[in-house]
Amino acid sequence: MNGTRTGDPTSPADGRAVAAIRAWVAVYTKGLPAPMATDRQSLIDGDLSEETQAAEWLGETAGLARQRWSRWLRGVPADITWRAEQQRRITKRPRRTDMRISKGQGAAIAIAAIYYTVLFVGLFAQPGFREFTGMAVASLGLGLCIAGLLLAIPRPRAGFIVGMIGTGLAFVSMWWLYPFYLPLPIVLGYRLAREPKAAAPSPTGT
Amino acid sequence: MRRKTGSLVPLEVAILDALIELRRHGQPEAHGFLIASELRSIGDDRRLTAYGTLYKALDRLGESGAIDRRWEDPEIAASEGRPRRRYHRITLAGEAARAAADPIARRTPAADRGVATS
Repeated sequence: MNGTRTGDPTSPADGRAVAAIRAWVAVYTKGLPAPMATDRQSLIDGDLSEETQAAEWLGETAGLARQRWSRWLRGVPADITWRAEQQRRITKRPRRTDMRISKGQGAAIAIAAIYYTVLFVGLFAQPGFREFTGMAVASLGLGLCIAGLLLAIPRPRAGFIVGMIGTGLAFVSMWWLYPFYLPLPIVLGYRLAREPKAAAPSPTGT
Repeated sequence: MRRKTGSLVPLEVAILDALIELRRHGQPEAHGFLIASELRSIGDDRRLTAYGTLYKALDRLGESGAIDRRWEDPEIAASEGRPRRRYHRITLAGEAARAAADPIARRTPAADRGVATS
């Protein structure tokens, strides 16, 4: 038993399963506070070890690797949602479904979205318009403006960034339309200013 | 769909049942794999509960106060040449939550408990 520990893998196939599970745990705990990540890794390590011991005790090591793969794969969705919950807890960020916007914000976003959609359609509908390259970039820019407005409802900061990229693209392609872009930073900035402030990280583990 | 605050999902009910069953057999606290084994023996599924599913449910139960969790002394684990265990124990709140989850729970907490746990 030199160099071996209780609960070490029982076969090469089992060793591969254990290595894959440990690698996956390292992936989904990456970036979490150290105590939280270490606790999770210890939990899984302990389970793997106990699982090996039980299989050896029962003389059922033949199917152990398959059992581990099955337990791992069936639990992947829970691992992912667990990580999302931990991250949300660290940043104290509300769930997306908890995001509420006031009637004023909603109305401003709706009006701005309609405004940019009309602008978008209006550009395409212009008879004899031939600036196709500029048109393509401006279309992309206006599309991002609308996407930024919609994204700003659940994610104000991300919406602001996307909207500003859209405004920038629209501006460089058709600068003479710049007065039409002005409402966007105002609406998105207003939404961003109303975003709930994130609390300081809390490195508490399990 | 979000779950109702304080409500238990079937797996959590099963875990609390497993902890009650283990305690009845002289194991007042249990590590994760033991709980998974107990779930298999008392449930319909022949497979062990997945790692992610099990530990996520145990975390939820711990955070809601339905179970107490403690890490084993690392020296004990080291002396036995294995990773340390995290032990789980059902609390009075957990027993109440279990009883509320199912009006015809298999047993009442007081009936099979020699000493109070919290």
